[in-house]
Amino acid sequence: MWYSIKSIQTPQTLDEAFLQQQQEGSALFSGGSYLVAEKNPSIRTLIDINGLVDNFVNADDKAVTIQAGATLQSFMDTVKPINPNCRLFDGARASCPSKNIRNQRTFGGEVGQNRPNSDALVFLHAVDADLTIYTGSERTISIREWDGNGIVTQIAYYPNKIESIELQRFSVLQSAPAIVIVGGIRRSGQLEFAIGGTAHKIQTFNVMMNNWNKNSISEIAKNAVRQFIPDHFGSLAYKESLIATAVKRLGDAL
Amino acid sequence: MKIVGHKTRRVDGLALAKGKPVFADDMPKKDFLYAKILHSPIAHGRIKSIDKTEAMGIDGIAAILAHEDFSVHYYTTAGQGFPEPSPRDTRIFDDTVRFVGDRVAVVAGESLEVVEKALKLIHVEYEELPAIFDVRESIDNEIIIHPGKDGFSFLHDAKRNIAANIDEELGDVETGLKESAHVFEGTYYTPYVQQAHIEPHITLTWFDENDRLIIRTATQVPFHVRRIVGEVLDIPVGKIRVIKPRIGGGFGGKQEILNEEVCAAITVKTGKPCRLEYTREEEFYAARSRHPQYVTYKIGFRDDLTINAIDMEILQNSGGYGPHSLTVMSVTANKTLSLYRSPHIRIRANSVYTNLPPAGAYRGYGAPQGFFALESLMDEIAEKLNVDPMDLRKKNYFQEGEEIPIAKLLGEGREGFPVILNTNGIEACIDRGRKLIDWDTIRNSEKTGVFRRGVGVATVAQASGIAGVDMGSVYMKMNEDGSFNLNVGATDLGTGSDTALAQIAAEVLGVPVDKIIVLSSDTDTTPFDTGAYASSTTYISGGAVKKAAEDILQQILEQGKKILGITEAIIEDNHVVSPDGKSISYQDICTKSFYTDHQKQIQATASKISYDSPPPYNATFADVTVDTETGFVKVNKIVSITDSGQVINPQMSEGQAEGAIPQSLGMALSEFMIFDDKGRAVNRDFEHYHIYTSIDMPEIIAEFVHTHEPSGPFGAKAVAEIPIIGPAPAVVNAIYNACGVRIRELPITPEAVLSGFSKTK
Repeated sequence: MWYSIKSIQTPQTLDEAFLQQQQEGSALFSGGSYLVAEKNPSIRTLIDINGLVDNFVNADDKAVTIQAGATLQSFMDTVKPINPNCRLFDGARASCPSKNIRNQRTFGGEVGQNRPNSDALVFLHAVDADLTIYTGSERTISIREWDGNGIVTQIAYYPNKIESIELQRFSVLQSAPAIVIVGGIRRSGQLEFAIGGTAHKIQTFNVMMNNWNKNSISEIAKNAVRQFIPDHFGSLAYKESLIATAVKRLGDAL
Repeated sequence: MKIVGHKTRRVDGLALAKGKPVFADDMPKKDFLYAKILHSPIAHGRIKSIDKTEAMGIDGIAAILAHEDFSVHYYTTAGQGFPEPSPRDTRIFDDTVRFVGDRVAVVAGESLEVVEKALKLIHVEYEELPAIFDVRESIDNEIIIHPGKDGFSFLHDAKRNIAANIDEELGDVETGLKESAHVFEGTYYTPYVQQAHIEPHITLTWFDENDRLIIRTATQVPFHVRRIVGEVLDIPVGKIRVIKPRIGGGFGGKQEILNEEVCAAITVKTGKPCRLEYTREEEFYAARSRHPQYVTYKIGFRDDLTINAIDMEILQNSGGYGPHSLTVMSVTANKTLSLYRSPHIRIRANSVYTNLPPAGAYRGYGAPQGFFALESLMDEIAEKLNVDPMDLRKKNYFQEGEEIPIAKLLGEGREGFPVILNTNGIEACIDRGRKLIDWDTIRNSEKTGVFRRGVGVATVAQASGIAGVDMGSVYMKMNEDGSFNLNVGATDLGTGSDTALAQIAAEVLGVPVDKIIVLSSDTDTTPFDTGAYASSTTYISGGAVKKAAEDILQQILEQGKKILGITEAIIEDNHVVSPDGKSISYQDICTKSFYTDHQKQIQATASKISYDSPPPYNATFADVTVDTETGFVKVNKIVSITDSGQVINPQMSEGQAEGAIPQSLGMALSEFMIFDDKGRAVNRDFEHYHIYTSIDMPEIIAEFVHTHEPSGPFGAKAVAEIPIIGPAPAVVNAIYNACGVRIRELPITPEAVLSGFSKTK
């Protein structure tokens, strides 16, 4: 690990882990990809929750249930035989190209990190996944409403409630974080988009199918880009055009 | 040949695969101090004061050294032959800082934790000075980055911020251009890019039982490390031993004395062993990278489409200091002007100081910048003249038997040596690549729709070592089991050169590769070698190995004859055999030579210096798809065909190409170091600096055409750098073919492609 880590706690219960998580300088540890990459010197205590969260994925036509300790790779292994075209694979593959790499990202960690350029997270926002969160007791909320507090123990989404799902990511390399990622679904006569990338946060937009046109696409792009950050891979004007292109492609595909 | 030209297991492969402790840091570190550099947070300023009191008060801190602890002495960090053709403009610590990341002090303590704590408690008062970040504003700026001081040398014009300059002409370019039927001009830009070797810079230093300074370091240039550390710390080289273990990649980044002198200074000052390792972040802002260049070519053609004049200008960014600044520009000119024949050539080049990180050596060493410009312009010219880009090139290549005049004009910081071209396989490379990329089909396909496909080509040349400069030496001895120790000064930095050198020795001696025990490199136990750079190891050090092995073979024959008491014999199947069938094995010859008969050690030393530097050639083809709604470019396939003479080990040579191609694709499409308006590096990790990974790779075909270079060992030329040069211009040319957008500045951002595409409509 890194020198600032003074202790690694192995709590016996989620309650214990939740209390430890409240302490300053503490961080939950599961897969460790982000933690090890960042080596944040202000983190002094790691709370190892590997024994407290499950790491399997269940998938059928009705529901996909992902335990927080499941890795992106295990998700691919489980879901691929059932749904070989699952659009989350692109992002999962980019995050962990090899089964053999030591630290594979967990879904719990991916959600907990709450990074707007996470492919998995944009996908989960798009499908309006349910999170099971432990904050002294367990409760289930929409991922779109989670404030980041508590320990994620399970993620679930329901393909049977969704008529179609698409994901579009634009990055300079497949392995690089996306500049723009748009996840989209069609359900109950409307299109729902989750938009992330080099942005401050993931945003969601809904359009009724009968309002789907150039103007609605342009409106979504114009609003979404407000949360984006200009950088060396593109100005805001360019990112707005990328969002519009992604939304259009997704909408047409959905 | 039984061994040369064939695949073989790497001599260091098993140890690496098994995770054996082979790298610099893989050793016990009892009682070591851990050192870290305090880097400048400002781009340009004078240090008014450094208060170390509070930091020294931390338990476990052993030393804090800054400029006031050293006498004023200027040197260059460039790991080059002596005298180094780089400006001596650097002090181990200076009272002026010239880029964000420049050295201010070094702290050493019992743990990294206390050292990091101490770094925060060193109070430095700076007088901030105005800074230059735009290379185009440096010359004659009122801000002078290296105001004249005693002790500088080899610095072209400090008062004008010019670290190095080239102004050379052959023929009469002005007249040549005037007399040309067609004249074309273009300016092209390449940015700072990083070597991104897996293993960062790391050095460990200690005194041995005889009070000699031991430096175990990840370097490409152990003998230059010894010389420069000795010079900086005023220690005779005989009191220094540099050990180069296995290296986790260098790509030129370790052709630099980056921290060895600092780590050694701690050991000298404290008497304690010390370890200094850069983090990945430090690699990005405080190590070295590729020199950014603006390159302008003006090329005049006759009516028959042969080149009549080439006028070349280079404006290169040295950053805050000038290591390699002259020689990188020199290579930019030298290599590009070694490809096409022109009676009139002129080079005007300046490498200028800015307050950005110093650049240094990076695989290709100026050639990628130059060929990006030249091969882009050649494509533009072919388009304007409505000729096939490969036909245009073929009309202008130097041919076998011709002299390459630029080689004599521009050497390593001085006049060079004439090169007569013995071998040139470039046309064979083109013909093979054209088929493999399916050139005619894709080139002529209809360019419509959102996703458009195109192909492009670039043809390039490099060198095989530095003529008249690079020298490799080996010591070889025989053992009684028929094995041979091969001690080489050459530095395997992960390339597999130890294996290639073993193959050369094994081929000469007629023994399996596993009978050759390679040791590289240790300044106490291996003979001198200038180091692993300039694509020199196979050609130069391999030449030395071949000479030594031939000497050993001759000694085996003579010793065998003496032992057998005969005057005529041949060597056959590891035996010395007389005409009447008497024979003695290698093992018996050595054993008897050790203990009973005509006692001696069969051993040899050999050195190789070459005044030739035969160019390897390469044709790289790219097949790309451009998304014309977003500007994103997908590289579908790269075909890289190389003439590197006789390939010593096909597998490792293919590996060189397969490793070089993603580096060049990165420079083309995704890599560049970004600085904010204060000169601070913005993208300092691999989340924000995007290198190609395995999942990003296109299909690659890397093949070799065979030529036989008479001056190289078994006909070999170099292979290490040449495949990194072509992919970037080939991709740029393929994008043009796909969608009509011409990019003259790297990297090719999607926004630039989209913007260019909107202008083509």
